[in-house]
Amino acid sequence: MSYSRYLSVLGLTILIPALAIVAINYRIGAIGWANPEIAATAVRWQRETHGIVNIAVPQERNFKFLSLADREPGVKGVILGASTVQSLRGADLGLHGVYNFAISSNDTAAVVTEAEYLADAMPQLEWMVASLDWVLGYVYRDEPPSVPDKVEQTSTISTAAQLEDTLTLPRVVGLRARLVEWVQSGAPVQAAVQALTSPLSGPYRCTDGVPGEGFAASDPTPCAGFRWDGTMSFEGQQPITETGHRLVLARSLQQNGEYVQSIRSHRGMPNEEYLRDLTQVAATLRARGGRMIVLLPPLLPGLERELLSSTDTAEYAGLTKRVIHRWAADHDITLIDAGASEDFGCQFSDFFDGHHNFGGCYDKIFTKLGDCRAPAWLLPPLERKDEHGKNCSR
Amino acid sequence: MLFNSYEFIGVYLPIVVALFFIMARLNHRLAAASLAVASVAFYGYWDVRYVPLLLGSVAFNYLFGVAISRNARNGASPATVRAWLACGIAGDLVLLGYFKYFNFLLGSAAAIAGADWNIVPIVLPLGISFFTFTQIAFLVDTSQGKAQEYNFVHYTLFVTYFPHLIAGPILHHKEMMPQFAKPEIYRISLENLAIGGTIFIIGLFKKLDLADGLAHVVARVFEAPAGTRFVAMEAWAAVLGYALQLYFDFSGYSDMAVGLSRLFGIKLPINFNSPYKAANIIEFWRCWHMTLSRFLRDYLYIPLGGNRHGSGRRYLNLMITMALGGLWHGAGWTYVIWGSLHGLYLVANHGWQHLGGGRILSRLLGRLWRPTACLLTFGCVCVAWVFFRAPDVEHALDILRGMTGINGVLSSAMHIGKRDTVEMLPLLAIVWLLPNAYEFMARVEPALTAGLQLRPRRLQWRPTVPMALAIGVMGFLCITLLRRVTPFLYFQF
Repeated sequence: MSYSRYLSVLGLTILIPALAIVAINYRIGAIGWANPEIAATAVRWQRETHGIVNIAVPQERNFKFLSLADREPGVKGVILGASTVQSLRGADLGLHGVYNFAISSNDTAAVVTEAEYLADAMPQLEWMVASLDWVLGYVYRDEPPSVPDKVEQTSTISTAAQLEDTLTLPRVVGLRARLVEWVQSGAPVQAAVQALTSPLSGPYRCTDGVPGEGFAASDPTPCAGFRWDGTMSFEGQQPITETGHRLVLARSLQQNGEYVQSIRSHRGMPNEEYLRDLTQVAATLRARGGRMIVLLPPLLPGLERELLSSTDTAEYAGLTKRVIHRWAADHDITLIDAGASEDFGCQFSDFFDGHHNFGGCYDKIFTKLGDCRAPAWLLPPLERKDEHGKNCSR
Repeated sequence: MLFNSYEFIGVYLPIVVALFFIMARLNHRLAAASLAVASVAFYGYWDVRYVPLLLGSVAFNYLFGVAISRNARNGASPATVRAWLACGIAGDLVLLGYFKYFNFLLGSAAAIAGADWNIVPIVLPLGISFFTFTQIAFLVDTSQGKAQEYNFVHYTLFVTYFPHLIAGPILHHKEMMPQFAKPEIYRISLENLAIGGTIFIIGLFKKLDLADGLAHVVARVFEAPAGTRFVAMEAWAAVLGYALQLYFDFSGYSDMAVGLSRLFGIKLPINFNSPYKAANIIEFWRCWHMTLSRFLRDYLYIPLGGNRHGSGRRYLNLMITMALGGLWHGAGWTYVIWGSLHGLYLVANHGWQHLGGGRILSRLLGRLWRPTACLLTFGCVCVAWVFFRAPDVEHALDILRGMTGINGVLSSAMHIGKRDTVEMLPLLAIVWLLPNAYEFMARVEPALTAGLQLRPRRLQWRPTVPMALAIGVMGFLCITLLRRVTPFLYFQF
């Protein structure tokens, strides 16, 4: 065989599947996760069904903005943060008219921007829960909050970014799973055509009777997605086992671990601009008779204690907490420090990793706070004591 | 810019290959110069501030090389030649010493003095150990009359040549300069493209598909807090994982360098020859990072006296060579311990051979002798890798304690699960049972083998359709992993 033929076959073996995958994945992305229309479709569907929306991660922000706009007149409070607070319900706080606006991987800069924007755009908004994810490093970052201008509900993803994404391993593996699905459907051509022309999974019913539908879902697990109140169901995630608990604690203290690196990144000093901007939003809400509540989200039982005692993180983690506590006290901001979740009765099985809980832990936290429940405790919370004479803020 | 990035494969490489052969049609010297400029640009892409340092080092060594050569040819006394040589080498070592060892020495001095000095971090220029050693070898070869050609463009290309600039192989002037002068390298050759492309893909596959997957598993143990009590299973799994990761990463890089160079028709020296198949440590060092071993032998061990002054002096020379070889890898006590440990292994190995221990055992064990010796050698190498990878001596001792089983063998909450360990077995099979890339391609002599006899195996590369399909599939798998860009482990040295 000649070298030219060898090179041709070699080149084509690489290029043909690569180009096919680029084309198919680009198409799937363009009609799905990169399609700004998909969020509007999901909002319309949820308005009609009050079902669970499983939407592509890149469209979460669009979906939440449109959903909030859809419910706006009735919404008196919002929960802002990342996926760590997506399971927190308004009912946990004893309030109605709460929308959980938390978006996956939302850092503190984004939370501050959203708080400023929503406080400005929604005059009826009286209170907010703003989550500060310090163990993930979100409070330390250097990026300033964006100018809270009219945040447009639809954001777009560039073609270059879409093309680059098409050949990543998760997308290639995802496409393989799709191909298997198409073949197993019995009518592969029809299934492929359907997938390449519509991003919808088709409606289904969850075990509790609530309808669900996938909208170019990143994770196609049925019934995993956003409920009507904006909370996340976390369906398909597995609770941490006793062995897993020990493992997560051990791994979380590794020098190259996510938490250790995050906490050490800025020597534990939160970005003061974030705190300053949140203070201003808190003042706006207070003027309306409302309140800003800052939440340090619950961590896997024992994790915070480990981080506060490990030689790699103790100094910086301690500093972070001291700065945030002092800031909250100085500015009359209600602070719920739920990091040591075991103090509230949370167990490892309430979590599915080091910093995500299914919602049961939030229930326990606010049950423990007992008499402090909203709405009475929110206004004014700091003076109120629970039945044991403890302050509502820890 | 890394070899395993879209920028390199999709933009830099096609442009440079095309530019070289277009220029070559006009003028060979222009083509060589364009390749040198492209190589400097490749270096500058990482940090443009260090380009003057690289070029300064090239100019300094070239001028000293010319001066040494002129003095030698004009009949200057050996003392004069040696003085020029000493000045040149001293300049190189000052540069390397400042960037690589200054803070280490300062830190060690502060520790001894109990002082709390504020040591300002010094950024280590990429590849400084490699281009410095390459040029020290050039100066020594020049003083011995082994380096003949002093074309500045070719010399600059020899040092900065992008396939080897960042992490080797460490080149000899005499094996590269004649190649730059050959007219045939300036003509595009489909044979070279096929051979070079194939080796490049094999190297890329080793790096992306085999080595990188192990990194996070290994880190769970090596990055654990000091004082962690590891059980034997997890400690051994981590060390085994690291042994495999380092081999696939570095030999993958070397294959890529050889493949890239072959695209231009230039052969680089082989750097790995199945080192984990070695049946003793002497053999291991003939197969692991071969160009560094060659450098240490020719420019350190032999000048120290080698084996010319009796056994005692020979063992001392071995210890010094290996300890300094360890220090070359990094400014830290863990590297010194690693090198010294290998020095001890070599001394023990030579002593054992001297006593004839190998012959007795091979008679006793028969056909089991080679696998047993191979396993024992691999085990010793793995123990030494603990110091090579651990962030400090304390961590290394934690892991070594775990490997002894002092904390138990198994636990329900291990840092590395049984599944991770089982997944390493196919990689061990690749290392021990399959031919290496150069045996696989021995028929077409893809690299300089320096007299090494590579036996063609049954599994032999030929430019056939099935082979093109198999290598193509490997290339395609690599493309899906390119976005997960990770630097090569040897870049830090």
